[in-house]
Amino acid sequence: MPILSGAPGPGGRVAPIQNPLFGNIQPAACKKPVRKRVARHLIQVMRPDPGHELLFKEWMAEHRSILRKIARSFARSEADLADMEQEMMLQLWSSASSFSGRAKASTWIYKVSLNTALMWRRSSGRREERIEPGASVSRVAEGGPTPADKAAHEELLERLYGAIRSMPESDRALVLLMLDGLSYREIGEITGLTENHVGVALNRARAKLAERLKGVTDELK
Amino acid sequence: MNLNDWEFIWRRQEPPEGVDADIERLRESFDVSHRRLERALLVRDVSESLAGVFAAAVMGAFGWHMGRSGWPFILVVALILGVSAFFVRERIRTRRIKPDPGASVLEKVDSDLQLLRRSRKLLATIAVWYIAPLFLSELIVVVTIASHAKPWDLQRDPVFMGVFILFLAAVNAWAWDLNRRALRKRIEPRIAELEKLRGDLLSTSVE
Repeated sequence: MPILSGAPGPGGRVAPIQNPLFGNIQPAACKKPVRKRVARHLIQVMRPDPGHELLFKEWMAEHRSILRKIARSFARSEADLADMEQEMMLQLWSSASSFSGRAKASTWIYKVSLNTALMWRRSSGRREERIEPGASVSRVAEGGPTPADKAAHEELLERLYGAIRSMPESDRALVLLMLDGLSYREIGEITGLTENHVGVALNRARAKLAERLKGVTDELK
Repeated sequence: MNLNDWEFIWRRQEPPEGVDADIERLRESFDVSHRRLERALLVRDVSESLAGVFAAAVMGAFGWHMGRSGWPFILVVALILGVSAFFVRERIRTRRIKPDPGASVLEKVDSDLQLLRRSRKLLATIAVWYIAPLFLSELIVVVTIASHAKPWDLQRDPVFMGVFILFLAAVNAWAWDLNRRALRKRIEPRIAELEKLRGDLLSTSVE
C-alpha cells in the first residue's frame, strides 16, 4: 500500500492527498462546506464506496492478529470474543472510507479496535443477552490439531491473557500496545496521551502486570 | 519467569486464520445493521421534525376555523414549533459531536462523554423545554375550546374539565418520570464509567 502524502506543493499550496482507492482527498485545511459534507454523508449511508473492501482485505491480511489480541483481552466469554471481533471488523469496514493514509494502517486499526473494545464492555450486558449460547465459537476456536508444545504455549498465553483481563481497562489497553512492541510515540497517538504520560502510565501498568504474573509463575512452579 | 519471558510468549502467538470467508457475512451485517440504522435515524429525525410541523398545522387550521376567537392557537402553534425547532437543533448538534472513526482512545472517550453530558443536561431539563411548553399548549387548547362551548356541552362541566386536565397532567408527569429514570439508570452510570476510564488513563499516580 503506497504511503499517501499531503505535503506542500509548489508555491506552498497543499496538494490533495492521492489515494488510489478513493481518489483525491482534500487535506483537513480545505474542509468542504457543511452542505457538501452532509451530501457526501448521505451518499455514504445509501451507497458506501465499494473501494474500501480492497483496503479492508489488505488490513485483515496483515493485521488480523491485532483484533484477536484486543478481543481476547477484553472479551468476557468465547461468545463475547467472537461477537466483539465481528464488531471490530464491522467498525473497521465502515471506517475504511475515512482512512486517509496519513497514519499507519496498524495505528488506525489499533485505534478503531481499542475504541470498539472499550465501548463494547459498556453495553456487553445487553449484547450477551442476544448472543445464542455457543454461536460463532467454533469459528473462533478453529485451528486444527494442536501438538503438546502448542497446547503448553497456549496455556501460558491464556494465563497471560487472564492476568491482562484482571487489570483496569486503561492499563489493559496500554499493556497490549506495549507487548506488541509499539513505541511511546505510537502508543501516544493511539491513546491520545503525551509520550511522557505514556511512560509514566506504562511503568504503572507494567508493575501491575508483573505483580499479577508473579502469582501465575509461583503457581506454575 | 520474568516479564521478558512473558513478552516472548506474547510475541509467539500465531496469527488467526484469514478473514476472506467472512467478507460476505460482513457486508451483509454492514447492510443490515449500520446502513439500516443510519437510515432509521434519518427517518426518525425527519419524522420528529415533521410531526411538530404537522401538529402545528392542525392546530393552526383549528384556530383559523374558529376565527378571531381562535387567537390563542397562535400561541399553541408557536409553542409546538418551538419544541420542534429545539429538537432539530439538538439533533444537528449531536451529529456534530460524532467523532472521527480514527479518533484516539482519549478523543473517543471525550466525545462520548460530551454526548452523554449533553443528554444528561437535556433529560434533566426536559420539564422546561419539552413537558412545560407542550402541557401549556394542551391547556390553552382545552381552555379555548371550553370557553367557546355551549352551556350544555360537556366541556363546560367543571368536574369533567378538572378530571381531563388532571389526566393530561398525569400523562406529562409519566413522560417526565420515564426520562428521569432513563437518566438515572442509563446515562449517569455510563458517564461514571467513562469518567473513571478517563481518570485512569490520565492518572499519573504509581499506586
